[in-house]
Amino acid sequence: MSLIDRITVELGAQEPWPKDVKLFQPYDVEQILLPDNANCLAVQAFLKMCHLEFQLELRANAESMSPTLKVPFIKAGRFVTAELEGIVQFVNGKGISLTDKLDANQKADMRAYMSLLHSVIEVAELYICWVDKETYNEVTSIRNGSIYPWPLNHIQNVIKRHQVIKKLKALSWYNKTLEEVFQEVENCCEALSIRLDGKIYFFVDGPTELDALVFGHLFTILTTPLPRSDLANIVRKYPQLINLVKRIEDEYFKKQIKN
Amino acid sequence: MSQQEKFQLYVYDGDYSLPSLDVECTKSILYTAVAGVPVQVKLLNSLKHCLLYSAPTFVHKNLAFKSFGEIVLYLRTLNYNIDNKLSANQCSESLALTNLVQAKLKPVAEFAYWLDQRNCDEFTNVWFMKALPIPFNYIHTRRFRDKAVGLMETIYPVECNLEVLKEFINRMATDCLSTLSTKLGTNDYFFGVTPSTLDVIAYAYLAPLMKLPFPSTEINSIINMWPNLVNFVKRIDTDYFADLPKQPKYLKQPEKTTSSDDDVSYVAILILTVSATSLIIGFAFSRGILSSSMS
Repeated sequence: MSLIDRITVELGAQEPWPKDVKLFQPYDVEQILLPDNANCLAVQAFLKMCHLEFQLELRANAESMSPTLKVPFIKAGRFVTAELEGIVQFVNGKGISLTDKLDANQKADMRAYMSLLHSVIEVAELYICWVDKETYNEVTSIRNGSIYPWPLNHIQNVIKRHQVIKKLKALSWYNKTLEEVFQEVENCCEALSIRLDGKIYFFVDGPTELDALVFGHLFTILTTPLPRSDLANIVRKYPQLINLVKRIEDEYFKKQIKN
Repeated sequence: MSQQEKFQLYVYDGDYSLPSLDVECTKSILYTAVAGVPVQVKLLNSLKHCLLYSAPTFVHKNLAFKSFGEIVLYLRTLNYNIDNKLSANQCSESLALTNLVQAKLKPVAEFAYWLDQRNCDEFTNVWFMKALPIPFNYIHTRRFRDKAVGLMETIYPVECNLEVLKEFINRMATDCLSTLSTKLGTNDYFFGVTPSTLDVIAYAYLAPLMKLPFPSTEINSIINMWPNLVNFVKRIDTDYFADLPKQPKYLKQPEKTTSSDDDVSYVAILILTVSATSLIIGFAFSRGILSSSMS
């Protein structure tokens, strides 16, 4: 978080939550990819948990519009903030927080598990989408290129794939085999399931941004059709996590449709 | 015993009472020390070792394991597991916290070692250049720096100003350290009375940042804000690395003139004094003040 972000948080705190907040993300039917979709859904879930109003704004070039080059980002009045962590801080700056009642130990827990999701599940999703040949050819290349005309779609795919592979190499995930990746995901799900331990949410006082992040990733993994269903099968082994995902979906996403 | 004598671990050399200057090597050495593996630690200081092995490499019979993760998995199959006393809950917490430490403290360490210009030019690069044989010192330092740059580009792709990047990384580290400090509390180790993998990894990142004589001491002062983490590192030092020498091995004379900007150089003062005095005397002679008094 740079200086500009901090100014955004501090200045933004003086104003109430504006009416015309827009959440920008790529087209969810034909364009968005698994990791991006998970992050967008996590932010939507978080804002709904805070009972804050927002409108979804679908843009093909949302990624290039974002200040951190990652989706999603929100535009609230004069301020633009990207990614879950930044948005959580922005919302906290307005005096709205889901973590008020947590003590230091629980907050430490929350930070650790959110970092676990970012550094395991999200990276595994990137790996499946861009490194696994079958998924790349059948899903990723088609969806990522869908917004560009020929031959730009192929060029953009190659550039983006190169970037992702560079990232995976820096995180030393590129040399892993598929089995190792699945093992990492399974360990992560196991750890989350143990931490949840039959509770309704991760912390007894109610939903937090950790629940939103878990929901975003697991819901996307469960509902996105991919040539490889291994990721979804791993998540299905943990009924507690499935229940959490269903509960959040019923509570925050189905209500809106009825209204 | 004959089978066990063949455990070998190839690492970069240590200095300043650190088992190794490389974080991954420190992890491997400490893990084997805690688990009680009868391992023979060998240094990458000859052409032969540098040619055959990268660091850390764990060699057993004809098997070689080239990263900390692989080494731990292999040692577990041989029943050297330091996490077997943890409950399911603790295992889950340990996994989350190790990921947090890796994600937040690795960038800080890489930045302090290789991207901070002063640190790299005056300490890290010089040390590795002296510790490794030619031509591997050039190859390895280049590789370290490329890796560090690659990591920075992935975690913060839009920013290329090093100062802004440094502030961002230091904030990440501060968050992580406060989390660790809260979790450690007043305990000796994170889980129970003996170290677990989390302790090993936390030590490997904290110890170099605390002990190495980096010219810029910003991160050191950040760590010192949490006395229980400082004590934690000292505790592991006394328990496992009590006999490591504190004196520098490779950089015999840490240059005091460059280590701090505030130090006054006496040579400079002498030169200034001499030139000022000669100027005054010369002026006096030219005006005839001195010559008249001498005659």
